[in-house]
Amino acid sequence: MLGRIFAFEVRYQLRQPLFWFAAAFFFLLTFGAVTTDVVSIGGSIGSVNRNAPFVLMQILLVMTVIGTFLTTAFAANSVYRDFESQADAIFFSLPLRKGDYLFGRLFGSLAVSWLVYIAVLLAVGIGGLMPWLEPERVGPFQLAPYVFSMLAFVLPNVIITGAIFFALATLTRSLLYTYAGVVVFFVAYAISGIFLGDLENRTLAAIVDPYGFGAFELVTRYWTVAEKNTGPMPLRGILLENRLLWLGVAAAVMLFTWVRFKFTTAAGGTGRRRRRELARRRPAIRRVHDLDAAAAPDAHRDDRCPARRAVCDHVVRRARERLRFDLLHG
Amino acid sequence: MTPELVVDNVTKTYPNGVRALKGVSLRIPAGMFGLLGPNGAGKSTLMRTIATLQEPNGGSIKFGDIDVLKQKDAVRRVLGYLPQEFGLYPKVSALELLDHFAVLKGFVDKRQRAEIVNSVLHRTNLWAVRRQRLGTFSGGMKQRFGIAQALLGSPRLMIVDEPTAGLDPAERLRFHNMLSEIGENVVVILSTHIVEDVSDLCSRMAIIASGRVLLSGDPQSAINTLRGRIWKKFVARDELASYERDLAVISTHLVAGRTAVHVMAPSRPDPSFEEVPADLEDVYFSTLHAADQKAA
Repeated sequence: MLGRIFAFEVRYQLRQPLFWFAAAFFFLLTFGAVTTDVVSIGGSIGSVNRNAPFVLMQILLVMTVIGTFLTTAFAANSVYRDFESQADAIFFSLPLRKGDYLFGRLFGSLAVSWLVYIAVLLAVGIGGLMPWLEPERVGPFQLAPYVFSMLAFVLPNVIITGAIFFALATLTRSLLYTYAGVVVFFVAYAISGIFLGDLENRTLAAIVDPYGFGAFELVTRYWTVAEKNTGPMPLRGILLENRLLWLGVAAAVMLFTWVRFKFTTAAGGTGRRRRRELARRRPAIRRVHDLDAAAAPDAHRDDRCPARRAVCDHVVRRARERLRFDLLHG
Repeated sequence: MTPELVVDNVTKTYPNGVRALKGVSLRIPAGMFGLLGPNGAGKSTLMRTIATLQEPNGGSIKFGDIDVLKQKDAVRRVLGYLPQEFGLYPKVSALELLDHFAVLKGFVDKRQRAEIVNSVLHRTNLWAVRRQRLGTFSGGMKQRFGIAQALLGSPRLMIVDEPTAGLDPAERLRFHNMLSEIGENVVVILSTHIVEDVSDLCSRMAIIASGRVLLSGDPQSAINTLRGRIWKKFVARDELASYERDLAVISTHLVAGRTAVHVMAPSRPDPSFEEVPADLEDVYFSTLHAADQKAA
């Protein structure tokens, strides 16, 4: 059943414009970085080949950090949309197993997030063929670094960030909390980067960096230009430890989500739904008792909720704009 | 033999202090059962609780051998549920989503599933629009889709929560016809605040208000108890208050712009009143009126 939910999720998400916009954006950004000096991703690359494995890995790592918003958008949506669209009552009254529902949705959305990064690979691959590039700055096409980066960097990063913000969205049933969580996550990431920036903390910093960026920098720190041009890095040592640690965290977060999630529809939502429905219905003939009964329990909520909802809507809208902004401006 | 649904002393208090159910007990046999009550009576709370989506604070619910509150998966296997307010995925076609629901209900075999899905599409008159996106559906079509998904896999317990709210008269009639075709061996609970839904469809009913069951039984015998006790009169608007003070005014209607009151009394209150045959609406409003009097 998990497989079928997964397949439906992938089909559903691939139909969203977000997937295609994000892929186009990632492609153009990377293409620009590889083929021009106007765009640079992850710092100057000096005399290293424009399409070197090192460059590819660096770009993909930066993209997965930016892509946290994207992964969150997909992963949070995968279950949250049932609350938002009010399809939850139908789904939750089906004979579903919790694990199938949650993880079918999560893994489907993560697979789609992961596919977006294919655009980065295409951009590096195609960018390397552009005629205006200096031939001595373009290396031969190699498949191995592409596969390595997609499996060792992108896949774990998508799983780690996806699992965390999926958990937030699914357990709080609120996009506001979810995007606030993303912001807190980034702030914490930046602060830890500052505190752990000095030399003696470098190994610790490499371990606790959820994106594996620190480990990547630590390993490639003293690479020669030749090394940067040829090889992918080996998946061992600090990089492997980092990946395993954070995949472990992701697994723990998923387990927590599975334990805490319940197939219940929010009781608090009924007041709001009820009111919206009443507003819509406007019967031609109202009956005395209907009015009395309807007005009494709802009256105290009527004056309070619209304002709160407006504030929430506003913040969520801002978070969405922010997401779009971040995607567009890197 | 379809088991009956037995609701015993179910209570529910929401965290915000609203007491939605104050000890509800009902026996619901196979057939169409109408649950009638004003908005805010606790109908949807009860429906959601039976549909395994919400925990009550106390009481028990049994469907045959199944303990509804504990064996949720067993309930969900025989359940068809049309929620009061629900949404769908706007960009997905009716066929696609229905097919997905059928998968989730356990119909894994492709051919068998196609048969089931096609059959409910025909029954709900959605066959012609099955490839349309759900976002383009009208209120009535959406409601029919809701019934279609509830019908998947021939449920033995159907919960239909306020299905006709917001439908135009033609759609409502069509919807009534569709509901009346559900087999007699199925326990169908129809919650509504519209009296005609119950009088048109249901052989048994209960009236619920403020979280309590005020009356339960069959509609005709409830109507019979009011025979000769319902009186009608057209009144001016400014007289209404005095009538309400002096007599048991159970309902007021507008008829072509004029206000008519229905009064319940053992004998004609005065010669200006005319006797009218009681109907289910009078049962409903007199029951609510009696409950109000008791509460006051």
